[in-house]
Amino acid sequence: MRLRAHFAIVLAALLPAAAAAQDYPALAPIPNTTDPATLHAMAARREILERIRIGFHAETNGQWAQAAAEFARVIALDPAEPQGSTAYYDLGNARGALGEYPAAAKAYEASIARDSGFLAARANLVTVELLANDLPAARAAADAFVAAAPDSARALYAHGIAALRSNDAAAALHDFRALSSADPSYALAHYDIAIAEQQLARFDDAERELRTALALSPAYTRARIALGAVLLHEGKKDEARIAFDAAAAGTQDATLRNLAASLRDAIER
Amino acid sequence: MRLMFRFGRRLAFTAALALLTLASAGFARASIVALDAIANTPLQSSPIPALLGPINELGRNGWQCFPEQAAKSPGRHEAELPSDDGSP
Repeated sequence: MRLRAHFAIVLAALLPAAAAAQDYPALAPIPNTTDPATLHAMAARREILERIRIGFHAETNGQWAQAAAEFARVIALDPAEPQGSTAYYDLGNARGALGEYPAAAKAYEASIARDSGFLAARANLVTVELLANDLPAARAAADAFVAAAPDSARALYAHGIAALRSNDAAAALHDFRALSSADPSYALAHYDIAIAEQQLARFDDAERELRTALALSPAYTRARIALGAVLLHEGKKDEARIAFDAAAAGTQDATLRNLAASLRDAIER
Repeated sequence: MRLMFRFGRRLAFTAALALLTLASAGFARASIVALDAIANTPLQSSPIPALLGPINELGRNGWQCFPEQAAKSPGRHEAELPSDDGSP
């Protein structure tokens, strides 16, 4: 009986908090006009805000098709800023998550056309162009991103990846060295410097960077496999076999483990 | 008859040895080719960064717009860059 009374007290205490936590939309202003055009504009604005909220929650829950439909409808209503660039940005995210990269790129470009300072849209534009493997477009987008935000770590990283995949090792070295200078403990920056050095046929520099990456992150299997390949190129077969063996032993990823083991076995034959 | 049989055996043995030698040479050559291929394969860059998350109706200048902050940040953690944890 006493337990029930305690439970009722706790429940009563929690009820106001639960009510406060509910996400009610803001109250719409009461229209003080009967002009049809003004009323229509107010209704459209209300619909824009509500659909962005619904689309935002859909994206948060991974419901990409539903989100895309909501943002397409918002865009059809021709929203003012910042809702216009936001709707295009969120539409780009939904299209990108659905694997529709050209459509996503178009949406981000429309977002940037409405708000040229929109850095998140610039960042995601580079990502979808890279995912689409459209390297010239990715490089153009990355150039614009770096120009808009020269200190941004993401801009440097994305610019470097686009350069590496286009075999522009010099540009990639510049970006990843800048990232590494800002944060010397970032193992991936050392790894990508090594890839650029390998592209430039500077294998001793590549080896040094990969060893630095592995000192920072001993479980970095991809770096260990890359080290094995570089050592093999340098003619250090025994060291290469040890690197592949350590890579195979040190990863839970079945694909990487099989790759490392087959590389090790290729040396032993 | 016995002489013919002996000659046949010797011929078969020689042929088998020759085949084995050729096969070994082939394997060795294949192994060298495979090692060369490994050593000369262009290494893959680190991963493409993931898409930054959704933005609500307040827009990029809204209160705590994390995607815009991530795009702007000079720090790799805030920028949501790929990590080497668990091998990317």
